[in-house]
Amino acid sequence: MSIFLQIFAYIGIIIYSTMLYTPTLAYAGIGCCFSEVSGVTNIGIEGIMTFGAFTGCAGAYFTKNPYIGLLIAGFTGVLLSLFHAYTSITLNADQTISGTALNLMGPGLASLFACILFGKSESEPLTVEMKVPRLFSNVFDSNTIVGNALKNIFSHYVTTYILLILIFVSWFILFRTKIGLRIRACGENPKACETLGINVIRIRYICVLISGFFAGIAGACLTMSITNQYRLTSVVGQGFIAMAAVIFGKHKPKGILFACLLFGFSQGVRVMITNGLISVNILSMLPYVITLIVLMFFSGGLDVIKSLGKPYYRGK
Amino acid sequence: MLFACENGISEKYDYKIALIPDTAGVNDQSFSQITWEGLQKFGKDHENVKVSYIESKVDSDFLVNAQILIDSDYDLIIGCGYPLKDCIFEAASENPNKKFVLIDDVIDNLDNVINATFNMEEASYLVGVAAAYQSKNKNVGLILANNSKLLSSFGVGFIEGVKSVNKNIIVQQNNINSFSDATLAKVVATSMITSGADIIYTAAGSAGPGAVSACGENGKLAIGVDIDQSFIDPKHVLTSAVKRLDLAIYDICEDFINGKFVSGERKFNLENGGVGIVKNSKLLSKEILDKIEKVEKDIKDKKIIVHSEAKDCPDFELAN
Repeated sequence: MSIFLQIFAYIGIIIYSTMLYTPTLAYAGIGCCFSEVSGVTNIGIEGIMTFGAFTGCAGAYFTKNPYIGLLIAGFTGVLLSLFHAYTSITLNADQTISGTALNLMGPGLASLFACILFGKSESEPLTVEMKVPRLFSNVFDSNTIVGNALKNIFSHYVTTYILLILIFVSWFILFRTKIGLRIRACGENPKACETLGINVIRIRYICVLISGFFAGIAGACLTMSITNQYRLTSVVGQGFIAMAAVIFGKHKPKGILFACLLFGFSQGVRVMITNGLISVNILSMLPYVITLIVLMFFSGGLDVIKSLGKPYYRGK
Repeated sequence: MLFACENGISEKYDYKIALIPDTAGVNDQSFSQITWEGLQKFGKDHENVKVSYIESKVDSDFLVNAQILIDSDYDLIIGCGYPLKDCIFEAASENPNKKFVLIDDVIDNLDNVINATFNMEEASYLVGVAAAYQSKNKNVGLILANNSKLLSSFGVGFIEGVKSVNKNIIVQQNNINSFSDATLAKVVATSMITSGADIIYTAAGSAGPGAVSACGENGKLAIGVDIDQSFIDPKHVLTSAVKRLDLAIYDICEDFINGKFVSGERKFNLENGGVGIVKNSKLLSKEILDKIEKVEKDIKDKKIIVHSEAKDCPDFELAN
């Protein structure tokens, strides 16, 4: 095998890794971003993801349609986040506590419904038709190195392509429309917004529900594209990595995407350099360290959303 | 905490046996579930024995639950999996009159504990042989969750099995250092496939399905572990190296109620049916199956000695 072919194959794997890791993190990140710019911390992303991972899988299994499964994951995520919205916006409860409750509730509810629907703590595995389709997968000949590398570079899940559109749309909404300006204003100074006739409560509700929708879909990406089955350990910390990506991405869709891509890229690099010379414990640390260092250099100070996490009392 | 199978108040049982699964619970579709199935069968077959389980939400509940079982006069308490090691050790040293079983790990010097261990290198050897005969590219992959002694035995057995058929077959190895990151297992499996592997054996718990999925999407074959994993993707799981925990626990309980409790390590291997290979796969040809059965017989007859540690095998090295 020539050296160029080898390098080409390596590039293929790194791109594949990037595109496999990114959707889960970035969907959750975009959701989290909407919630946070409107002034509500949502650390319950992980719990919602776990629940969405289950409902998406179960939905696709019973309807035999991956797109309906994804929508079900999204809307059950909305239901769960409604709890967070109600406690933290209407009842002015501590948002961190409410989010933690979600993190405990998500896996619990998923297990409960799994027991009801499947009689065990996992879902049934999805068949190929029920999974999120991988585009262009038959175009390349997977028996040659070039074919495999090209497949790794160009063939991805539908959710990955939708994500790229979503990033653009959310950037446009948040930074180029009147609604986006209002959302951001609610996160900075809700009282001033209210005096201008903006309904802070409603905007915050909508944003938290949006975060639930995308977190649900993020979870479903794990169980409907990467694997084909919900398990108790399907979601293990991806929600928190996504939250870190939001902070490093400075609450901007573009920045979040970059942080997620970087994390996936570093995982790809880690797979490539597993050669027995470096301890695997150091290698497993590598993606986190690379991401941290690069973002420290490029993000240059964190942004602060002034009213983030503070309950808003109308008329006080 | 959850008690199951509390039927009736009358204590008409001669023996009470309980299982403490790890935090995944008894419906985990793997490890604990089979153990519980074996125990349930035992309870059905013996009317004077009561079987039950108690689930733990977090690791710190293990010991509490063990104490509950001890207080409710259970005679035999089974800890399922290495996370239970500390719990069983403490409970057993404080209650010398009770009997305990620890699955998959070893506690030395306690005469009221049976350590049930499984010679998975033998099962891995057999799937290695299957992979070697099945591989068209003469290139196979091995993904392990970590480099502990337990997981290494899977790897060593597999590579020995592959090399026993043909020394020139390439075995690509990767240690993903995770039992749960299915995404990583998928990337690693894809990278192995890109470099020519057409069969991949994964021993990495819940990360495993990621590798199976990668094989499915690229039209390659996967080999499952612990239980028959063909349910994940029947068209792409060649076979599985299985641990027959149900049989193991049945045997131990049988001996226990017959008064034949012998403490110390109790090995389950090919010979006593404690480990094995799934043979009813449609993907395995008759020809290959015959060859596997021959090797199986040779291992049982001790004509082939399968090693469990890499240091005993000078021909190859296990990736760290």
